[in-house]
Amino acid sequence: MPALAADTFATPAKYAAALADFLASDPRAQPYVGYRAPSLEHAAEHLRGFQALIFDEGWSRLGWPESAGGLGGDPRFRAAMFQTLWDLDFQIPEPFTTLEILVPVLLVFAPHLADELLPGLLRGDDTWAQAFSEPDAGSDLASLRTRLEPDGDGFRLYGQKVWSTFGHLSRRSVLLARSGGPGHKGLTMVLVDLDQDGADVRPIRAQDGENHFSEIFLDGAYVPRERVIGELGQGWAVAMYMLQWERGAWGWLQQGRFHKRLEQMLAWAPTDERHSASIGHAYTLAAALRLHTRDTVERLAREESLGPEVSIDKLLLIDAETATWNTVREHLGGRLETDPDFHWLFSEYMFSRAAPIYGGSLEIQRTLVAQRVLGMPRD
Amino acid sequence: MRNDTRTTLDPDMIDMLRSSLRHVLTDESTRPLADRLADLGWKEVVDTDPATALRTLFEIKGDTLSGADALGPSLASKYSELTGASSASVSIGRPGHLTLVDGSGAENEVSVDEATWAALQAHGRWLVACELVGIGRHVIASAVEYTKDRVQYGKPIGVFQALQHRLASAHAMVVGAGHLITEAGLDGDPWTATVAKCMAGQTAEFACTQAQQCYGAIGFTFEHEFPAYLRRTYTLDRMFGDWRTLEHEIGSRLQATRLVPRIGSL
Repeated sequence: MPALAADTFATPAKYAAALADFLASDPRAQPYVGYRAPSLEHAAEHLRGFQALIFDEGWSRLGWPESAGGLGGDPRFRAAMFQTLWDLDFQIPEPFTTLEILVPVLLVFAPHLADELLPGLLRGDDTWAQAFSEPDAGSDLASLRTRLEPDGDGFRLYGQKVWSTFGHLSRRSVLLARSGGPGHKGLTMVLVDLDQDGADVRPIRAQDGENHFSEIFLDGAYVPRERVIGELGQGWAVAMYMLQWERGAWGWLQQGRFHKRLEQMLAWAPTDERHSASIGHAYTLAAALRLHTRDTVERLAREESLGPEVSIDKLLLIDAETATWNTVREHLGGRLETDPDFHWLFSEYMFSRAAPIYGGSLEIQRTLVAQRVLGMPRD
Repeated sequence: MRNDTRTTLDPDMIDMLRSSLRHVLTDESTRPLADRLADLGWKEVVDTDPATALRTLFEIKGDTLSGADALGPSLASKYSELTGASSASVSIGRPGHLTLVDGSGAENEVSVDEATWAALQAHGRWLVACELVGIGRHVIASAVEYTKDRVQYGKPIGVFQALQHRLASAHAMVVGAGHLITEAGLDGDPWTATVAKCMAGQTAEFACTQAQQCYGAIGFTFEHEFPAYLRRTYTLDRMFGDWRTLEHEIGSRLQATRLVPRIGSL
């Protein structure tokens, strides 16, 4: 029985303080403090225990609806959890990122799936990936070609997905496929089980040496009718709804990381006056990102529908991420690339180079802001 | 305007306020600004939500390039709040020193304790940061309009990605700076004001650079409004610490303390 209830904490701040106490004092949390991942797979395995602990004690259930196995409370509680984990030097289990992006979508478009599957997902017993991009459909996602064809009581998938985060470690994936005609109107979002014939997942080694993404080859993978998310043909709207969560929640999570890494960097290397401007620069951008994404999280908590301005979250994130990692690299000098104790940090640095590429590239975001926020003319 | 969600003034009130302030800040009157603001019922607005009121005043000052002396009287109000002493206008001198100006224009240099001086400098940094953000917003909006009108190669030049990307990246910085000035107004913390001024200074400078490029040659003429915004940006940036110096200061403070303050909380 969890000791917590939705009304235990009046505010995210009180919840954060209580969580901090728990993490500092409970012996079961200690194996996870200051964990440095030797590899993505090691982290996935090691942190499952941590994810289960904070679920079983109720901490990670706050901010999710009771109907889906949560303890109630709005998304600010989840944001407070991320902040507290960063501040106390706990690595955030990768599945939480997926949860932030995918679960709100289920709650709106497939609540029956949320009720059934969220507790397992939240605890870490179940892991999910996303599968949208294809070799020929990256920025131009609406041109994707993977087909969803009717078959009896369900559907079968045919095609190929790429850049599916955590795909090789996931049991299921949210996936966008073509059920109808061309363009964004013919798309449907589904949840497909990857542990079946007809779904072949192959990891791709990224620039940092880790298997962050996978290709998924689909040759008749089955999707039961009840695993359609939203309606047939509603896939694009579902994807657009997902975007505001990706931009907002991820941005808030990342600012927690940047502030923590700046703090750690100062402890790990001697101070040098030559670096002060670059540190001040990174800090200023991290602060701007923090305030902006706090605003986004609060708007999401009020159930506001966010428009094209979420692209600004991504632009501020890219600026802050680039500046923070440049500063870390400058401050640590050659040790970042050569010291084995910093192998995990150098991996994180190398992965950060993808920030202007994933989730809608920097160029796409700028175009969206220019056209849909500033009202600049289109060709 | 997203940033205005942290206010107790209702949206219609803010719209009316912005409109009235625009008039007051650009009229040719020689009456002191304080009197013209009093006509608007300014005191009541400031009492209700001082952070929003002052931020709005200075953002519009930046937007309109108004030459009205708002800073001196605002610093005087702050000085009065801190010490109980009244003055028509205050300007900040070297650390620990202020110049008070009374109603007749007579100047008097005074010494104040470190905390009072720091609070006034913070207030000054905040207000000037607001003005810089107003400039940033203005030059971007004006450049956007220009790119709709200017036609080359048979199209409005605003369709070209090169210009869209310049103004979009400038806009993102303005949004970021907007959050910092809002937070600085709410928390009254000199640290937040310093970070806000740093962000505002680089934002306005960047916005001007991008806008300048969108305007091309026409924006380079003295009679065009743009150069005046550029000159004002440089003047304001220099006040109470230019952004490059502040970056050093901010970084040095983090290095010395090994603490990284998290500005704002959920």
